[in-house]
Amino acid sequence: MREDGPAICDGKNYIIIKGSFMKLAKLKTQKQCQLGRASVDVAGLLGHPVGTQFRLHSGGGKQRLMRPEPVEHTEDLADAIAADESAADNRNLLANQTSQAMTKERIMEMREQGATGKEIVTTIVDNSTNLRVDSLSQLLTACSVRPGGRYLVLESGCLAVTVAAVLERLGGHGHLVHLFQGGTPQRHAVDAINFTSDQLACLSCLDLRTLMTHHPADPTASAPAYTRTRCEDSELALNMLSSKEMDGLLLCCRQHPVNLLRYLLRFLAVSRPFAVFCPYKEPLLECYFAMKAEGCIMLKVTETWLRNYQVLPERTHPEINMSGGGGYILSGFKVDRSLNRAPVTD
Amino acid sequence: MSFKEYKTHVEMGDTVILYLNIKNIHAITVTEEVKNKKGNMVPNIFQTVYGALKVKDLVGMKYGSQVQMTRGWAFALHPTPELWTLTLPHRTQILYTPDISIVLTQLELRPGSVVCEAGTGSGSLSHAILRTIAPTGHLHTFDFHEQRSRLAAEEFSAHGVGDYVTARHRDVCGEGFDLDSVADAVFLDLPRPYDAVPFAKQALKKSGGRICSFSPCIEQVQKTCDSLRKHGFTELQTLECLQREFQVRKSVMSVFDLSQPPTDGSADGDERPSKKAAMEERPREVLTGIPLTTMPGHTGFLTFATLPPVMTSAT
Repeated sequence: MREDGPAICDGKNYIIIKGSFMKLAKLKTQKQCQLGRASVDVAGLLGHPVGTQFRLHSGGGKQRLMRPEPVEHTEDLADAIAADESAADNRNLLANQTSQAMTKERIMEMREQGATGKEIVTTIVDNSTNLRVDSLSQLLTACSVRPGGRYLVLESGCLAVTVAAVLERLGGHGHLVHLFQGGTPQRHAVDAINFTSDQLACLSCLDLRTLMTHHPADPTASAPAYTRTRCEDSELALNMLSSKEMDGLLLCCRQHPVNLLRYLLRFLAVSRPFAVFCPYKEPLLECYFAMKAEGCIMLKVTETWLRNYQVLPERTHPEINMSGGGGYILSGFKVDRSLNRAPVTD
Repeated sequence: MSFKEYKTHVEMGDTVILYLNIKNIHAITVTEEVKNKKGNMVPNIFQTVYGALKVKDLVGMKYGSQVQMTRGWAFALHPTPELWTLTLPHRTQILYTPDISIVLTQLELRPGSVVCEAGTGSGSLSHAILRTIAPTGHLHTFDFHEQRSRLAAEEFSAHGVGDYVTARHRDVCGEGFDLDSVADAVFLDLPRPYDAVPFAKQALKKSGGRICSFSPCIEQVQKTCDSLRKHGFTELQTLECLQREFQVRKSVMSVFDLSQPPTDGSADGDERPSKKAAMEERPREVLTGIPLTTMPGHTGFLTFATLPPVMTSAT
């Protein structure tokens, strides 16, 4: 029995970590859990506390199911290397890595409040989008995302990662309009997190075409919305946007952002920030000048650079640079220049 | 008062971010009077390069509008933790937004999170944490410097976020957090963070949690990682985050016209090229974004780790 905290349950989403391998999976007793080449017997995982570390033992049977056993002391591979003096020798290190005793598995529930942006990006995304977790983190602060705020997010091609991240930061307070273009909005990341219905109620999806034309959404559209019908969602989103007082605008899409930014800026309140992510710098340079012409201030184009380090006794050094592919961000503030028609100088 | 939630208009007691230009941004507390250096109360007048501003005139203005002054104008912006980080009075070296952003994400902070922070410093990170964990979370922040701890507490109160934070004067490395199994996350920005690790473990919930230690020096990082492993923390990750800003300009470059050979001035077939022969040049405007000449090269190393849930024998 545990003192507090949830237990691993059948039918819920979890993040499974094996060494540096991370996977998002729904655990079902009828199915095995595939971890690379190993198949794990799910029944052995259920009921244990979230965050438990398991050791895998080779099981019998035709399917070669591995049997998980909860372990008392959690160990990192790095711990074991650090403790093992013979690991100073390269050959021994290699041998240790392949030995069965070194294989550990740990299961961590994506908590009921939702997984973090980091986990969403690294597990679901898996190099299939160009939005890294460090860029996502910067987007959230560039727009000062806060509970109770009202945010407009136009996202495509990021599997709803930005939407999920903002929704997590709202925590059931405030509102998020997810603007999408044509078809149905992506929802992978939002679905993967076990958001409560209160949290999902903060989210409404709106087709860009509906916003521009005010023609109601197609009621026969295939994918249902989260807590409302597609029509109700559109109506709610349109109402929210009609006041043109959104607290933040976030753009993260495959299309060139400049037209979208020019059009969507009108929904942002004054003294509120916007942030645009783009895998390429050049479109953001155009956006910079477009926003300058609109009178925006504090315009900034940045890129974030992350470097990981291996920290071990006598063996501390940086790991591979991740400077490529992180993308760029343009941020700025909308202001009201109607008082004084002074020219834009800075 | 305007840190708690967004407002549309300036009220007395608010903190307003006055934007003159990119190098001139100031946080101003809106009061009628202010204490001068001699300790006397004088009218609150803020001097800028564009003239003087009677601060009380800001009351009733819409946030985001222009503020007229004698020789120019500025913008009155609504405060955010990010703008506060750029304008707050430095009592210590502070954390800036690129690092703060990573900390908020990697510590998995969200509304309702309970966080321990040591040291409070100038409250840069504290304001960002408070914004992220409100309205149901709580921040316990500690500093071993009595005056800094007190000033931070006063600021939190003046900013309307006092209910979400407990600021204490305490040396957590020597005395611990005096908290047991309450925190979802612990953040350490200390000279000797490794000494605080066992106390951090005690403060974290039994169902597990996250920890982050920020250190400028690699030796501190090594000792901290050592201590984290010894106390059962896992998923250790050390990284540094840098933000590079681009100078965005429209540059004009001249372009040689190479479509035709240069005109030859001599008439008698002399093959020497004419001295006057010139390539035709046309100017072309290009959009450029080049890195600023100086950029921050290092702030500190961020080390993250997870405390797994406590296992009991009867599971």
